[in-house]
Amino acid sequence: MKRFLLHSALFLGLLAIPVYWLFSQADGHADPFYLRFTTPEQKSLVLGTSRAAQGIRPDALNQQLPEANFYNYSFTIMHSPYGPVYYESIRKKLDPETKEGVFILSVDPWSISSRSEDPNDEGDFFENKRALANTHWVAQKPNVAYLLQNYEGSYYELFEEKPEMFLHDDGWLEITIKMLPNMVRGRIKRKVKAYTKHSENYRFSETRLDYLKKIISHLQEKGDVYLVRLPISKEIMEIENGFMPDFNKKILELSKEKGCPFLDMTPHNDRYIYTDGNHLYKDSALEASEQIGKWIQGMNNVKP
Amino acid sequence: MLFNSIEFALFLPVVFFLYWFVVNRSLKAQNFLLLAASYFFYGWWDWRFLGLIVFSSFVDYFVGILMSREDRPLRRKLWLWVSISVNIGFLGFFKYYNFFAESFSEAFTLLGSPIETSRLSIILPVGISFYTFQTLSYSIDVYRRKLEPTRDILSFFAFVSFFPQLVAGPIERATNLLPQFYSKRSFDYSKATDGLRQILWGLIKKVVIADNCAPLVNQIFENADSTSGSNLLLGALLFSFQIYGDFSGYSDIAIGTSRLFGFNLMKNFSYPYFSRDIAEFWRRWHISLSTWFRDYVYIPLGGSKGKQWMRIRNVFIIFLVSGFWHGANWTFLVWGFLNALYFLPIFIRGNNRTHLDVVAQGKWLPTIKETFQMLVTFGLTLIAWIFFRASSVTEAFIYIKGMANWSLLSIPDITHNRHLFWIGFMLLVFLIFEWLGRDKEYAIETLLKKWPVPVRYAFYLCLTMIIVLFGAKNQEFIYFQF
Repeated sequence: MKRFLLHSALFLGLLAIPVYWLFSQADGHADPFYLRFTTPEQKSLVLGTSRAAQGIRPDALNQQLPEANFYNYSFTIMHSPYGPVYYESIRKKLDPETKEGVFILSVDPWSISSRSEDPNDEGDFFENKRALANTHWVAQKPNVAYLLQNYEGSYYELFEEKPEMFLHDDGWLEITIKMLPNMVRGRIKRKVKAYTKHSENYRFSETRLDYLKKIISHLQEKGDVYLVRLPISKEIMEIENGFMPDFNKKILELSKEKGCPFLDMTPHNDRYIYTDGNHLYKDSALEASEQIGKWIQGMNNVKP
Repeated sequence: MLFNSIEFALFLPVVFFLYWFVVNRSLKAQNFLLLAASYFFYGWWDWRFLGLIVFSSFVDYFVGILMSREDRPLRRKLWLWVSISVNIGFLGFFKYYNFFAESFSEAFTLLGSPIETSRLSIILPVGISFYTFQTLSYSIDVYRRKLEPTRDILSFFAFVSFFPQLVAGPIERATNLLPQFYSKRSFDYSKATDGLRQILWGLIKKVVIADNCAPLVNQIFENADSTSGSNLLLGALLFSFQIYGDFSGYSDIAIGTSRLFGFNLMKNFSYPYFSRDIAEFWRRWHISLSTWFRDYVYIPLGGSKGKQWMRIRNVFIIFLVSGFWHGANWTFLVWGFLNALYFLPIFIRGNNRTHLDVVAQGKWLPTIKETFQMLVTFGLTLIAWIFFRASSVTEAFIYIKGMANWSLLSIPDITHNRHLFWIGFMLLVFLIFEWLGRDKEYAIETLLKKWPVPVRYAFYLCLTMIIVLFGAKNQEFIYFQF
């Protein structure tokens, strides 16, 4: 038995070396989330779903607000709508020493809604079984636990460069896809179909709104919180207006209650270019991020 | 819990440690640990269905004892039927209720008097076909007085639910596995390392071969009506390897895991794609199920004795029942029927036991005749697999029709799939290993055994790295659904 255990331990030890090396090769090409769990705890965060992940660029924000040093910790509608899972993950990613952080929370009707039977039953939220929920260590490189549990491909793909997607060190997800008009139209059509279906299945969740409030309160202890509604195409806007016509009212009330400013960028939807109607194209993301930066700067200037 | 999951990678060493270090002095404690571990293993999937296993175990345990106390044949038979009814009843309800309800309704609709039957949303308990047959073998063997009924309830329950083979076999006979629970197991280094080697090879088959074939197979079968003949042939070919890798891989892991705990399970696959005729294929494919049907259905029906028409009837029954065992769908029945048709000519001519040895034994390569025989047999099974994989008989016919045209000779047009090259290469290497080890329990059983330890370890390390690098993740085993 002793011999067996010794040989097994030796074998596992030898195996650990190439496996560790393999995992340490994972970079921004690995998948749309991995790198966000490998960077250190942060002081200023961009939060939200995929709209923010692709549409808010920390590099542009940092030019306007260099002292903030933003980090994009946004995921997708399936992973990071406001709720207990995202709340816990944000707490872990936030540097406990933070005092003067700046936090941009992207909001939209879907991030405070749920498609579960009872939209207020947090035990039934679909993100409960996804990557964010089971990733307990969010600042570890290489993040072996994440790669073992959540990486969906074969590990040899860690070496492959995926030309369409790259997650930057600051957490911004860069999507590079062809923007030929007919291709964009096709993608918008598919997105409209998907969101039309969402509007039938999703319902406003009081619980998610409460968690958004909870997140805001927690972040306000560490710095300033700003709410932003990112621009979207007119097709998606129509769906959102139909789905939750009083969304802006809800957020304005929240903004007033919590004392955090709200920027609604949707009145200028036509200024921007979208990859699929729902996400800003990277050049437009730069422009929108600059606008957000200037707005925050302006808010700081008028602070008493 | 899947064998190819992180949970199992943690579960196995924990159970192994407890088994050999904590409860190693007491046989009862070891059996209890195995029982608890098995229930935990099964409950991880869905604890609600543990009740079925427990109930089934209770029934067969007491039926065994009651049969042994009874001398009157009629009473003994009655007890046997209690066991059969309970086990087949569960199986019938969970697996076949909807099939029969729908088929019944369709038949009446065809006859012009449509009737309403209600469909139930039933979850099929994982492994029910496997453990039901295993526990049935116990009752039947006790009835036939081939086996003394056990009074050791702990051993019996552990036998029924033994986790390595609980959900996808091999379907063990009580005569082989149950006595192993009675006797003291001591740790055997060579047996344990052999077990680990077999687990390693099983994982290669499952996660590298089967799981990498799966996405392409799915893609081709889902678009069968709009793809070229050569693509369809490729899809069928890949499915042949997927199902072999998946199921025989599971069996290898099950057998290897059992060895770690000092148990010997029966061989379930013996290089079936190197068979020279369909009879040999069926002696090498899912051996534990084939022999189960042979011993408990075919022979009681008269087997190969009696008049010609009875013998032919028995062959058809056995293949159709075997097909139906796999699933409640007409596709499985057609699959069984097709195999019976393949088997029939050999059977009638009395050639069904011609190839009992290993092909090209002691040689590097087969003869041209053997190669031709193997290719024909493989081709026949490949056609049958299309029915096995298709979701309906109509879909299977569309698939075959799509293959039977000139586009069969075109170059498959899914070369844009970057994985295809790797899959082809891995399949080739895999087949070479399988060929070299075709007279062994599993392909790498004795490979490099005479080489120095560091070389062997380097080889195993390479295999493990191949699993890590190329393994597709957390795909369920196909046979779980049966």
